[in-house]
Amino acid sequence: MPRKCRKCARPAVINMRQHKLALCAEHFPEWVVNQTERFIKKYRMFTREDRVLVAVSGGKDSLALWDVLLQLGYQVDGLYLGLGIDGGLGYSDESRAMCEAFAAQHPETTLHILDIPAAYGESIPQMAARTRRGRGKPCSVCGLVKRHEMNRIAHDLGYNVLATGHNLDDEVAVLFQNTLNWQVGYLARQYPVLPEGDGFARKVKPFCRFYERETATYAIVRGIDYVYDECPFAEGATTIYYKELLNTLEADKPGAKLHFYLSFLRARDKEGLFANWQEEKVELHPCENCGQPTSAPGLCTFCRMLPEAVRPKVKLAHPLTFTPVHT
Amino acid sequence: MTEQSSEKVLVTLRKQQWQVEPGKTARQIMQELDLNPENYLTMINGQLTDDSARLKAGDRLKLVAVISGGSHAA
Repeated sequence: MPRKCRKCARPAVINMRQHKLALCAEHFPEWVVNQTERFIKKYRMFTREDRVLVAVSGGKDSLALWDVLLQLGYQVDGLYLGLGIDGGLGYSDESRAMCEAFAAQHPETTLHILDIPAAYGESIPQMAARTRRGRGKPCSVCGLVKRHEMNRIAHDLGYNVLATGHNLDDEVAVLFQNTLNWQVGYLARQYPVLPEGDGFARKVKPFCRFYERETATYAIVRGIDYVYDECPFAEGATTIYYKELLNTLEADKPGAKLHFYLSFLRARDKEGLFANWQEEKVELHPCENCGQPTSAPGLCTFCRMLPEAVRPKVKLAHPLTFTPVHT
Repeated sequence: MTEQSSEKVLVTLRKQQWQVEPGKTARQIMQELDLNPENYLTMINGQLTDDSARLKAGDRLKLVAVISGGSHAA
């Protein structure tokens, strides 16, 4: 017999060893929804007055997050960026189909779609090949495009909060990597919320305390279809290697990942880990083309990467109201 | 696809399949296959279940990988 649900004694669908808690198909989703609300309040991510845009990829985390935020009654819509990645699997097409299917089942919300190849004439792999960024992998170009376009679209459509489906495994893998390399600047900025300002929308990670197996379980139990296949370019990614390494530790020491992350947040918030850390003031300027903030005068990195002919397409619909920082 | 023996448990992970002896838990089977149980969810005969469930002859165990690369907007 499998373990029984702590609340009703029906068969459990998941046993969360770090919490010593097993729950069934009815009580586990309820627990996820309640915990998400608790994290949103604890880290002061947003309120029901905020307009939240969830970046959805068709994967388990982002679709589960969208589902939970809708259940909680937040003003939330989805944003899908089509990156033109095929990899022999029709990866982007399938991802988009999953997002559209979810949106079709939830008429109370809107899915915004930007197809990058249609908008800018090139897919992400094509941009990476032309610009020779990323040593044969398009991941750095992908990150650059996503950051730029999400912020631009959030601004243009009037959303003040950008939510992503990063889970605890994502956060711990990054924390582990930055600790191994003592990337103090990155460590100081790692937090469930990045405040808005200087032309950037507030960024939040409401799932930052859920294990990846919990978000997957939630999606399956709720009947959310998601893309099981990994992005074809993720194979061999350092993040996946660190996640596997940390799961080896977790198998022997249940709760090790959660403890690592929560101890880090405690050291940061309560023990003044970065109290003496002063981030270098970066002088921000509006990009001459798109108007978004950039650290160097002239064009931002994204606009520099685009062919000149398509640059006018990324201008903001209305100007940002950020105050350039001058040092 | 492997034809399942009625005396064994058929284990599937993506395109890989194994036939294993019944009477073990899903967690024990993963450990015997040198798979870390933290990396997978378990479905027995199509039902999501906690990995302490013991498998009988003829059962089908599907392992669902949960690790993703950390990219959240395809």
